Amino acid sequence: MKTSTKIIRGLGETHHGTEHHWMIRLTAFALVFLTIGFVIFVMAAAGSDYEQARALVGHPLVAIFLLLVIAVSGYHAYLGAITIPEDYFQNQLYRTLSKILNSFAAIVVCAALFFAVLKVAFGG
Amino acid sequence: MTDVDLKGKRPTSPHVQNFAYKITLSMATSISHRVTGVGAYIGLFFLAYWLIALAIGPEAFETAQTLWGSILGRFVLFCFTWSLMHHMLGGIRHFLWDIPVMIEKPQIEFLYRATILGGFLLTVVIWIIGYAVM
Repeated sequence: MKTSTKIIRGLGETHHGTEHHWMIRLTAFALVFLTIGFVIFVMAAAGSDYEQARALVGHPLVAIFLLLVIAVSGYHAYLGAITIPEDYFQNQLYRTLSKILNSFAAIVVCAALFFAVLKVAFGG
Repeated sequence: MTDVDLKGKRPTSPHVQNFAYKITLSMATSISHRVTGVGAYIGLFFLAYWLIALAIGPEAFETAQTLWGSILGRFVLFCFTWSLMHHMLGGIRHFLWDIPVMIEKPQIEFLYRATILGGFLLTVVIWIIGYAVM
């Protein structure tokens, strides 16, 4: 019962499990620090008026931080959520459709978040 | 095996749907990790609403700020804080097992309890600090 790794690689259920595992752990590691920072950001933003909030989000360091939060958490959320249809849907049509929906949802929410932060940061 | 009806009522293995298994901490935390992960995903949409409102202008932002500052808004944020902390500690637990450390049965059970309790504790600490600095 010995099979060469190069023959079986990529033949699992989703064909890219190792990459998925690595990327979800890599983004999770970054998110431990980003989440702590994000909690502090929300505390700073809570109760602020319009000008204060624009000044906060528009600060270059805060804006860069938020863009990192959006990119890393968006990718992590995409990777995490895709395992749900992979686990529960045997029907390939439902599985593929829900994976497409997940891709679209993640891209749309990240695009919206990116634009909102950049618009505030560049003062438009 | 002659009395097994292969076309009609075939024997089925126990599965989650009919609660054939006794609920264990590992099952409960596995489920809660996934559910809180979905919660964090939904949180991105909440954040998008707040930031887009800020990008649109003062009136839209004032509405968003009033909504999140209301009792219901604070309740959702409180639940979201717990969801995020629970998920983060669950992730840290997985890091420990990836290393791997604390993989003996009693240590595993301890980690389940520690991360569940830790999620609640962090949430309360964050909100105490939040109200103290406001």
